[in-house]
Amino acid sequence: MTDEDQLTQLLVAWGDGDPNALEQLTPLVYERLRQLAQSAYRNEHGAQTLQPTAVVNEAWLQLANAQLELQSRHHFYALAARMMRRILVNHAVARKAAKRGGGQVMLTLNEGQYSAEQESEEVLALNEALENLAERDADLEALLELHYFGGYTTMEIAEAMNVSESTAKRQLRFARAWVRRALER
Amino acid sequence: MADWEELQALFEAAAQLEGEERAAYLDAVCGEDTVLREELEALLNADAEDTLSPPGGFSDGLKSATSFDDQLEGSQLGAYTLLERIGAGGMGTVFLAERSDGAFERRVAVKVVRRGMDTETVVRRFVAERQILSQLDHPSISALLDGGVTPDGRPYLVMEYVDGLPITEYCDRHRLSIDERLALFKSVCRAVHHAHQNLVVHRDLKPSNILVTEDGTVKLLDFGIAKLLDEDSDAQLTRTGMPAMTPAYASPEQLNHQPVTTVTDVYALGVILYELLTGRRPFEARKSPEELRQEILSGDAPKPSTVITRQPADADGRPERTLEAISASRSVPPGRLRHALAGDLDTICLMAIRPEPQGRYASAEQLADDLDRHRDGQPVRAQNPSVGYRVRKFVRRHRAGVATTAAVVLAFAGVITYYTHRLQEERDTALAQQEKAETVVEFLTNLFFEADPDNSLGEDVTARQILEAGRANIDFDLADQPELQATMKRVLGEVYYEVGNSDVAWELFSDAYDQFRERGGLEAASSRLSLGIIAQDRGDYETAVEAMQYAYDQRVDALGPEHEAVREAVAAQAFLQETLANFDEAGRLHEAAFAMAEALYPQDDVALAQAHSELAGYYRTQDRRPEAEALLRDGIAMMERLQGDRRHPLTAKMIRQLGGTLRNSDRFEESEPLYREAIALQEDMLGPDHYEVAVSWNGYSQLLTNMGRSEEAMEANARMIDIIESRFDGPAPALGAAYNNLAFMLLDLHRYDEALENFDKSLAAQDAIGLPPDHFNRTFPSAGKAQVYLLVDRLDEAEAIFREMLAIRIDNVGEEHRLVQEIHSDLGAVLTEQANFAEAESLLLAAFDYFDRTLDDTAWDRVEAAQRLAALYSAMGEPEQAATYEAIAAPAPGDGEGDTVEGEVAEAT
Repeated sequence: MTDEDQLTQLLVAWGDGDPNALEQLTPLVYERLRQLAQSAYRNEHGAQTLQPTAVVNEAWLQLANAQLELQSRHHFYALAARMMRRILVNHAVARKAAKRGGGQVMLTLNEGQYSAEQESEEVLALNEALENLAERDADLEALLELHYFGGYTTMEIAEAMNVSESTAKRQLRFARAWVRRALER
Repeated sequence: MADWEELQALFEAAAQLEGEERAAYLDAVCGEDTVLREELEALLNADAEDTLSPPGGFSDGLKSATSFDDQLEGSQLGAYTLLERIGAGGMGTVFLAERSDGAFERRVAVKVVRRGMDTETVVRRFVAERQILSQLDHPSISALLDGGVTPDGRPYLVMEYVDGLPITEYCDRHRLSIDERLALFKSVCRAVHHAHQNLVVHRDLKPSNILVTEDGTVKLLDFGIAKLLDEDSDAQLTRTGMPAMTPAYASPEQLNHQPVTTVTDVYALGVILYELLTGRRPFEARKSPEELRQEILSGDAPKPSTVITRQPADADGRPERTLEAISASRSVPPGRLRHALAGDLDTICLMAIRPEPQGRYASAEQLADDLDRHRDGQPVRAQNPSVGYRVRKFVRRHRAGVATTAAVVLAFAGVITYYTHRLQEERDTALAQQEKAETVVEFLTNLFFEADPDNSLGEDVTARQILEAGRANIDFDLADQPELQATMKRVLGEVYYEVGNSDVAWELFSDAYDQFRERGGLEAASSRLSLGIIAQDRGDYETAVEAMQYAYDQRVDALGPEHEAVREAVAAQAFLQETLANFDEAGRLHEAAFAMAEALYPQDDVALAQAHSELAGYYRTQDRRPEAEALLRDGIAMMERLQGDRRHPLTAKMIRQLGGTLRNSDRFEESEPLYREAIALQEDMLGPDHYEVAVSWNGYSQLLTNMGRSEEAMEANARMIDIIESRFDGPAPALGAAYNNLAFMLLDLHRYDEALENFDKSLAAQDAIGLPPDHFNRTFPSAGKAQVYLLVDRLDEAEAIFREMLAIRIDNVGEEHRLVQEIHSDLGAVLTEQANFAEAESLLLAAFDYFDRTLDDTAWDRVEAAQRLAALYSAMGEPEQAATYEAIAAPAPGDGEGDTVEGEVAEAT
């Protein structure tokens, strides 16, 4: 059985409600997203935007033509957002380490707006702020994770979190303000 | 300080207020609590300044990116200069362009993919699909001329520029009559059909994509483009709405994000036909998107002949076009229009837009043909439900009260998963294949859900009904696509094989192979390989050898020697040679397959672990236990490294194999926990009724027999039989072994009648799968029967059977084999009782000599042979000799009567 078979099987199993499948799925999805993110970085056409939505969609394309229920897709998004966060954080850590060691990592998350360095700092700071938020309110953290790292719309976030869109909007506003404040401190 | 919920609530309330109102509110709620006040103010400030976009501008990256395209105007892409922007949509921007080098005086349309769509997959898909689209050579399809990648890495397509009107507008402006409209529409159908034959689906047919030029030529735009650009359609994921698709022409399957096929285009054609005839769409867009969606899904469209008489108002209350206006633009009096539409045209329109894809015309051509029949006054097809429809009706009518076979559900799920995966894999290589795989998946999925419309998987659909509906559908629905039909037959064959109906599977594989035989290639290889495996099951080894060799050759031709599919063929050949008892050849093949796996997978990989399992299975049959044990321990460790734990079907299987290997080495105490673990893992992961669980029960049952725990052994064996009987819808290959083993256990317990009964059941099960009388596997229950006869003094019958089985075994494995020597020993015992001392002596001596050389001193076979020699010599009146062998047999090995013979349950694999 190849990795792909395994992924597909796990996705199907997960879609069928096997909670253990998720455990096995996580490292595989992480690895796949990491590869995708990496190939996006490596793209030879110069500055390439790394858009989480695009990467997640691509991962979805690659992994999950499986006949998953809508509910599973929401799970998948949540999972993907979490993985995306981990990837970006790991990447930022690695980049800082590389800098210290004199190695150079070519990476641009967005065209021109941010320097790579600034971005690393931002990703790490955001990650830390989210961790602090999680200590107070894990739901809000999940919400922001979907928002920042999954790149989903409010409606999608509402669906994934199983709340109404207006609730999601309200919560998002508070959570964003809180994180922003945390970042300023 | 307020708690967290309170803080949130206060923030939300304050955020609604502004200026002084906000300040007053904060005064009121905070009072003296300055910490809270500061906190709230800080949050509100942060909120006011909230421009924090996600890192790298994540969330708006997609949206901001499109504006860039304005800069493209006047620029150059490849050989073309972009003149002006003539359109923009969710997917990209369209430019009017001309060749820069003036080589042709030709205007073209250049479509540039929008930012954010340029992921690697999409770009790769572009390159591949361009090949296919560029082959779509039809006068009514706007040609794909060229394509490439912009300097910033986005794909673009260059297409024939068409100066024309949308078909609806063209018809109205020229006041075309119903017949003229139908003629024009039919040429649209034929063009669409041409594309379908090249396995290109449009997916977004609508009047604005069907232009008619001033000279009356139909031109279809953007064939296959929707798919190129629409990630959603492949990924089936729910994004916000469907910007790319015009909802009024979207089919129910598109709205439901189900797979899209050629019949999806037929649906859109139906809507367009409806509109051309009536001036209205079957489902009106003035409703809210959700209402429209519900209406489309319900499929409740009014008849064209009645809809024209209604005069609904549009969203703003303005009356829509009146019957008079509609009739006038069709150059016909109102009464005549109604008359012209009533009947055939009503039926044809409604059939084309049936909500369930199977209910529609199977192709655009059939739709056009039906319009021809209508024109010629012949009965139209639309009035008769399709054969497939009737089959499904039949299935529904006859499903009461019969239990679903879980095996079929599993088999379908397996095949669907497999093809879903293939669809994935082949996207990059052969797009025609992909379409095919998509259709396969859709077909199977539909088949399943059609048969179980409430999706309840309840007690009412039998496996047989589902499968038979499937066969009928393949025969009728796919009659015009012989290759796809053949592929589907192969897939369905796999399902039939899974559920144990190998006769039908054989038929289906043969049909599939016949279709591909001349061309050869991978499809031919796969169907032939399956035929080979069935032939092997049936004992038709000559056919099996040929078939597998063919599959191997074809796969090497197509894929080169280093490929997983080639390895699979080699492994199949290895198992075949093992079954043929050509153990050297089997070993060579097994080792070759293993070496291929090592080369293919330089690092830890599930496929490599699988190869460990296979080779270990072979070593085990060769009694090369240390090698088998080492391989299995390596394989298990590899899986643990890959998985982080032992929860994987392959790991469980290797644990079982290791248990079996240790059992063969008489290391029972070590073996038992392994069997238990394997069973627990498999029951948990695969369900208690899975075939693999049955195989594990089988091995465990034998271990218990070896350990002298007969009652438990029989219980384990009964579990195995239950599973196998429930899984197979008909004769099951493994049942022969199951009854055989049970019979031997009963024999050990001296329950001879029951033992005989089960040996007979075993033989009957072998008959049922068509095992030839001289098949090696026959010798196990037959020899078992003879052993009972020996014990109950039916010596002549015992002798006859032993002699016959001896010949078969020698034929298969040669004299130097434990299974042959066991019969020598048994036959020697019979002959002793019959006072045929000379022959008895030579047989028993040969057997003892072999066991003495190859087995431990305490091995039961050796001890038994010595006891029999002792009995022989005392019967012959030679007490000294008898005493010698008695002494050899003396240190009796506990309760070692565990003489279970393993049947053909492939425990080692």
